Amino acid sequence: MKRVLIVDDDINMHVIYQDTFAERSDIQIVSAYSVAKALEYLGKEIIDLIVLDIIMEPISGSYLYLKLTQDKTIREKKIPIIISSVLGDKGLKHIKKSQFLAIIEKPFERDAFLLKVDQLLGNVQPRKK
Amino acid sequence: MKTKIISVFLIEDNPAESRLVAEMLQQSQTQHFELIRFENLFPALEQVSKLKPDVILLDLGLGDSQGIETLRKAVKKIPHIPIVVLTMLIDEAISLQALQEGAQDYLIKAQLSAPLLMRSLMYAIERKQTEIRLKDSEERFKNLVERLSDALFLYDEKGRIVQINHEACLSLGYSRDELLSLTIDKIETYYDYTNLPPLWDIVALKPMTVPGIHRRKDGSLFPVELKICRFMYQDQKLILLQARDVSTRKKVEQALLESESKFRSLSELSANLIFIIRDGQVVYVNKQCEEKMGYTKEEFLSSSFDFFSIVAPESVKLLKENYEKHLQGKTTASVEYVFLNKAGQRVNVILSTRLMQYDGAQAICGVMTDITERKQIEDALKKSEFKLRALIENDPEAIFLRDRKGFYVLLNKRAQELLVAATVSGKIPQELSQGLSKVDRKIMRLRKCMVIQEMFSQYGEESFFEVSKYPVFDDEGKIIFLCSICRDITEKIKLEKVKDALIRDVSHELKTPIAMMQMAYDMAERAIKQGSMERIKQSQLIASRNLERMHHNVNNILDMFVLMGKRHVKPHTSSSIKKVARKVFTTLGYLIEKKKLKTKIDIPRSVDKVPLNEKDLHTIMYNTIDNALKFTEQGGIYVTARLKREHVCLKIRDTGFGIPSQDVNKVFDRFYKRNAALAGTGLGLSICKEIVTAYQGSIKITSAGEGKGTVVSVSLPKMDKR
Repeated sequence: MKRVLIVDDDINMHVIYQDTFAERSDIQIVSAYSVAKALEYLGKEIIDLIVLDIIMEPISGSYLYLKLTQDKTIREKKIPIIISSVLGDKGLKHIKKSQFLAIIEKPFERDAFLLKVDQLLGNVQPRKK
Repeated sequence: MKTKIISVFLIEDNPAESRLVAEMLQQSQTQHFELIRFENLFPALEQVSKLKPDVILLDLGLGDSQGIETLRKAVKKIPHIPIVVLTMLIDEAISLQALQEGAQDYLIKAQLSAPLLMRSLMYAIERKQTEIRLKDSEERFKNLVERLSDALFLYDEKGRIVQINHEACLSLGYSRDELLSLTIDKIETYYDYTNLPPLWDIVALKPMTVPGIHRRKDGSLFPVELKICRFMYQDQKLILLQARDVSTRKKVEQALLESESKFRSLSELSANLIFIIRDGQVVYVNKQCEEKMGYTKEEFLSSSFDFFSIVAPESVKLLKENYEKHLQGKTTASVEYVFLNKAGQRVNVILSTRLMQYDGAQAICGVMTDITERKQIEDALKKSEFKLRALIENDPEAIFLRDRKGFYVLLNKRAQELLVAATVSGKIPQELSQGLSKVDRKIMRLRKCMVIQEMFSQYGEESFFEVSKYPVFDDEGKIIFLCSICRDITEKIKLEKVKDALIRDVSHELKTPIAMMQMAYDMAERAIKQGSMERIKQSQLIASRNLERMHHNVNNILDMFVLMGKRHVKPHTSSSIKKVARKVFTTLGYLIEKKKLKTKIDIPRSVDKVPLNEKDLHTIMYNTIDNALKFTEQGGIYVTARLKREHVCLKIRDTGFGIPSQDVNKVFDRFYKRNAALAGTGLGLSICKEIVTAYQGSIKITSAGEGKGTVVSVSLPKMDKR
């Protein structure tokens, strides 16, 4: 059982994510409505993947991303991240690419999203370019 | 062929003889004569000037005059008219004498015949005319010779001088008679007249030029240039000597005369003021002095004229000192003085003076250049430079002028400030520091202007500068300076950043609800396949909420464009605050529920209605409540309205984060956001303020501090009682 932390301030998105993972009995969702809540979960629970929105109130998702890459204790955990934002690749050029990071643009297709999740969780090998 | 009528005066006291002559003249076939008869000499002579006879026939024995005397009187009175004398046979001696005394011919009465008379008259007329012509020509020739500037000597083969001109007498100091009694060897000393062959044998008909030496009456010698030629005249061998004085004295005299006239004309033409002072007295002034100073030549030269009276007081002392120096024989430098013209106007001059000899005495020659105009131009130039300097000094753009090696030549105030700021904050950017940068070298090579951007910190704040660098050329096209003009474009760059952020925010705000609706649609599709009613409802809810959000966002963006123009207020409208507040709470209900916030609306009936368009009121309420929701995690949002004086005071209070005190004044700025990454366009409160102001209301935001909640107070007009 893998645990996926969803960080989004929009309640509607959480409903969408629940629907997206509805058929995946191997994945358990942890919902955080703010960056503060997400940090709280990260501190006490084992998380295998983070799905992160960027434009959020009152604290931006970028802040959490910075924390994840800079904070020693969190960084060591090497938790893969999917940034899920309407900004997409174009709007997030400034974010450094890494094998633990995927960017997906909203709206996304369920199957494409799930494929990214599986790749990052190590369930499938990423296709070679 | 008869030509001109010849008029003849016949002066004869014997009527028989007179008639005879008349008859003879009438016989002529070829020539017509007009005869006017007189019995006495004097009445005839009186008529001559009036009737202009061609010839006179004169009998010597008349009533009023007798003998040769008659002829003499006639010739004296009328020398230009030919006279033919009539005589008796016995008077042959008198007849010959008559020819010597000026008569053209004589006729003996006893031998008189018509052809003889006619021929004699005709010849007399012809001869007289030739005689007159010859005399005229000789007169002209003599005149010419006399006026020649060369000395002329005509002498015979024995050296006796026979003819000379005026210049010959003048150059040697002899009188005409003295010279005519001398031989040429007394005068001309160059040629050895005793030992060498006679000149006649040497000279040719054509004039030859040789050097010679002449001796004056006083014994002094002077060199001459001689032109000699020979000719025969009535079997006489004559030599013509033309002598030109080539002595230096003559030359000097000539040169002096020329130079004097040259100096005078030059001086008169000169644009400078030229004067000569001798013994404290003005002895010469040129035209410029008269024109510039306003005094006439006579005034300058009068003995009562005091030169120092036309000197301005401040120049008198210096001029007197220099004048004294000259009197001691010293030279002085050119000095600037101020003179006063006759009208009392100041004339600025540069005066250079020099000692000179004038008419044998020491004098001071002064040359003044009028620099009044130049002075005025200089002053104007100074003023304009001052203006220019002031302009450059106060230019808000920093101006750096550097020499070819990159060292500062001129920095204006702003440039100095910049340098200080840059030094304090760290280092001076390369493009503004001394020495040559790569760009500088490129500019000097290409001789072209270049624009670069520089970023450096000024007291901890990042500033962006646009630096225009260009070379400054001199008249010959050589680069003498490098000029850098530094323009602060921080604001522009900030604005660009804001613009970029706005585009990103607006696109986010529009894309998000669309993305949500898209995903809700996908979700609904799957739910329908699975037949899960619960999920269908959920997706429908997501879609409807985002539709609402989309609606609101589009409205806000449209409002923003309206903001750019002018907002029009529709009069005679009214809306209920309570109704609008409830509607907003319902729309945003899911967010309120999510955060488990309390809401309360407290509005008495008396203040519920306000004269606002419902859409405008909704925008105000939605934006303020939406804002409150964003920054409130727990507690609640409360809406109240009270009558305060003549206004309705609407308050939206929350228990959220509050606003940092330094930001309170900025929240109504367009595009203000507490954090650039936050959602929203940053337009909400700005739009609210526009709307409220359009209704003559006011809006303010207060916060007790961070974490202590926020109160937005909106003052709106009261509903008119009518």
